Amino acid sequence: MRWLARWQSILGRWRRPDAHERALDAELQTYLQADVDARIRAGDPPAEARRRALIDLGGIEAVKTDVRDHRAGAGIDTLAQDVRYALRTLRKHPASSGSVVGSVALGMTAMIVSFAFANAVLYRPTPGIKEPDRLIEIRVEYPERANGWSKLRLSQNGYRALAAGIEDLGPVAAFDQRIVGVTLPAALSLHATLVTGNYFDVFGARLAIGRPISVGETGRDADTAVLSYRLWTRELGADPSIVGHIIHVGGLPVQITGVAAEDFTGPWDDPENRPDLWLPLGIGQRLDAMTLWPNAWTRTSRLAGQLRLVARLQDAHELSHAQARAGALASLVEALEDHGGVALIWAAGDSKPASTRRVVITPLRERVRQFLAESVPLAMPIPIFVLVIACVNAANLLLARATDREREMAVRIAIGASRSRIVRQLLVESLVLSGAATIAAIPVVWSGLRMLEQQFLFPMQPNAGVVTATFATVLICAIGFGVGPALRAASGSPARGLRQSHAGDVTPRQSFTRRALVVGQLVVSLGLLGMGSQLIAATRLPSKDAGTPPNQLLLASFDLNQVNMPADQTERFYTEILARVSARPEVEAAGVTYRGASVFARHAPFGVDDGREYLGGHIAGDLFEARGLKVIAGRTFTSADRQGSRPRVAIVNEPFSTQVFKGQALGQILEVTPDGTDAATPVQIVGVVEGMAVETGHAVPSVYLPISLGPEPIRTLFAKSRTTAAALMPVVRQVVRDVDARVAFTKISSLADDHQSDPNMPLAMALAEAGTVLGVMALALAAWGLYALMSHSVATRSREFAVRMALGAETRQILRLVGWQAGWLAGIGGSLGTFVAVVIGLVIQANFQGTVAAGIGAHLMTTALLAAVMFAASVVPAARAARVSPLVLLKDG
Amino acid sequence: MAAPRKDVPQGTLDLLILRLILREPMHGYGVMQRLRLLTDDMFQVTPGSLFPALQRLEENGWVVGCWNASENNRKAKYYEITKSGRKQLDRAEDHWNAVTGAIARVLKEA
Repeated sequence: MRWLARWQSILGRWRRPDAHERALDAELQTYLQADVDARIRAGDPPAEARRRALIDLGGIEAVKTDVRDHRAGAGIDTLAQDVRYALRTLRKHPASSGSVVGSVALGMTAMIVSFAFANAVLYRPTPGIKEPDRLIEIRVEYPERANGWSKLRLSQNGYRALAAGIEDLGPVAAFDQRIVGVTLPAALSLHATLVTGNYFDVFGARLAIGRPISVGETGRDADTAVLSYRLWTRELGADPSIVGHIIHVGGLPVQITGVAAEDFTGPWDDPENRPDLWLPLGIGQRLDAMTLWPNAWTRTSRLAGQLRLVARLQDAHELSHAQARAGALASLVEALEDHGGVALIWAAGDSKPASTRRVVITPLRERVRQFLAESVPLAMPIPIFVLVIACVNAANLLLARATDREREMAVRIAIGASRSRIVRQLLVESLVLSGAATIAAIPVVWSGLRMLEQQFLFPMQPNAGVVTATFATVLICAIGFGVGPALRAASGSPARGLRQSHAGDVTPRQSFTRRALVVGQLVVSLGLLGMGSQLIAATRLPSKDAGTPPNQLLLASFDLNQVNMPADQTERFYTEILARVSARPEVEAAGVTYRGASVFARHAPFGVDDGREYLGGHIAGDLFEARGLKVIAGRTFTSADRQGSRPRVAIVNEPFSTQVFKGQALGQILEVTPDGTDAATPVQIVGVVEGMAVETGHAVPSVYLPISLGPEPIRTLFAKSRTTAAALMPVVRQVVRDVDARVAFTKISSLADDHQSDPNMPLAMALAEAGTVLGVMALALAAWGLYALMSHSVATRSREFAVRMALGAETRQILRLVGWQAGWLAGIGGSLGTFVAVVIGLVIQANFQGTVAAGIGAHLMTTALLAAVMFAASVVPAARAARVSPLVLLKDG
Repeated sequence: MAAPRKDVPQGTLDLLILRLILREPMHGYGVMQRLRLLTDDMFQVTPGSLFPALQRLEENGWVVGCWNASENNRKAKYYEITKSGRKQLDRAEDHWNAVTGAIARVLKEA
């Protein structure tokens, strides 16, 4: 029980530290007196006896120190003492300590909140799915062109083969998506998900009423349907007796078996493809057989023919087991195709890609929205810059303080403190600073996350890795810059520090160091701010004012597959609609395009690059005018272009021109392969239009082709109203009824409503706003740090000012002196900072697509702001010092 | 000329103190005097090592200190061995005897 006794002793000492010290002192005094008495008895004179007894004892304080150093818990006592001393020192310099703690806390908050937000946005689980961590997606890919792997369109045979190969790990469901015509009895064009019988089980999705889609007794899928909660409430008044009723899908009678729970909208909450109903997978072929467009989906619908495989693992930890199976599954697929003769690829018309296969197994949650996946990584360095600026602030202030404390260190070493003791003391000071910053950051982080949660309605948790990395960065910065200079001071001779006759005296070296720190801080801040503003610009939404106001633009989408319209009639239908809508007096401009279409493009000379897919597609009419996109260079399409005159032409948007041709797109040749076609066609760029937020929420590079390049049944009409989109809606409905009464809209709404229904839009806007907020934060931190450093530097010169004033200088002259010096430092730092910012800007521009050099105007404004801050930071403390009598300053130091 | 004083072998100061106060409680100065007397002032024990050792023994619960009047009628802190202190003394004595015995055997017979 030795440890118990030791702890009792430690606790007793902590409870009554003074009593313990008094007892020790009394004991040593007794010892000394007993020795003195003994020596007197031996014949020494009292004074000599006391002198010799004291020599033998070795000094009461020295013995006390020995006792303190050897008692139980001595390390904790020293630490507590160091912490008390550190707090006292920090209290002595409230302005610089507050600046360090405040700016580091803000930097930490920016990092932790931004990464928690990004993490939540990218990986948030889709609602309505039970234990999403256990779901995996299985894809089969083949090497396509030189730029990577592409997904294969799997047939049902492919699904069965893969499901059999992995069934011991868990059940596998497959699903496909397409747009179908449904009679409820109202004729509607709806998004359907075609699923295997185990779909609802695999996703763990609940049903509001009824039962899920079932596999028929004969093994063939029964013609049943589960409706979405949204469709059930919107179209059927949430009638519970609907189960068992028959509806018609593409002309086929289908029985409703149930309604999905309200929160279940499929595996990915994708507003464009949110399912309205679920049908059995087997119904797909029968629906295809009834259309006049054989394999229509392969050319026109990007939804269908993408049979997706999702498996539910028995245990979330089995992901690695499943992934280890990928190689074997790829071999299985290759073997079945090559030797078994099984058609694993759905589309018979597709040319069979090279026989190499790869199976990719990923957690379902890892699928992210494309634009967020692109924007978020670009935005993520911004909070890192904020943290770095905060650390630079802290580092410079710590360095400045360490320089000022050289004399204090020298005195402590001279009176016997060991160098390790001094280093430990400064280490504790650095830890106390980091700890204070962390404690200050906690409530700010907490409220920031709660605020974002309330706005976006999904949970946000700080990421443990980011928190650790942030804290480690702060700690390294605090320790490195707090202890490093002290080590240097402690390693030199104390005489150097002691030569300063007064605590306020400044040696030429210290004076140079302070100026160098100010210039360094300005240079680093300007460099980082330049870098940050460049990245912020890359994530920013195009101006909200650009383009037609969303409530003035009407979007009407059609899918002519639903009425089995022959190919030659579709173009006529759209031409007719466009002409009639354009002719209406309520309409300012109208155009037709295919929303979300893509164009595979590469720029000449052919073979130099492998090209990639760009958003865009065929357009007709005055689409650019309807959308409010100004032609920046060149021209818009003419009727000759639409009729296929040579050379074939294309118009690109500004982001495309910047990214692909460094802003010189006009006249360049592209080789394009429009979506759904195989033929590559050379086209010449004849115009450049503004980039603007499209469906994805930010401007993406796009290529537009005149409509004559290929007919498509699925298109969207964009009509710009002279008043509001709502007023235009009945007009457009009437026009469509007049042209072909059979055609139903797949969607008709204003752009404003379209945005509202898109959960990505607020996220995109939040991302852009977050970039701006973080940029302002970084600028404020840089200004704050510069002010703190500069004013600290000037404040420590108050003794010098006093001497000058005692010798006859006037306040005005002192202010002119510091103002002049601040101007010099701002000039040197500003020039160097501008140089650094320009170099960094060019490096970023060369290495990151989508970024452009930050404007010189913004840079000059930033520099001017920081210079003004420096001037204020010099003049304010100098004026304060000048107000005090020189005698008082010289006397008190 | 007196022989130079030597350091107490490491780890044995605790044993010596426990043994010295076994018979009767003693204060710090008494312990120091007794030690010098019994060793003919051979060991160089300073207050800087004596008091930390007394504190260590007290923290371990092997001795208890209480304030009493000294022979000069001054108040002094007397250290008294405890029950666990006696056990510790036995252990330390056994250990010492075993070690010194082994060393002696080597010196005699090697």
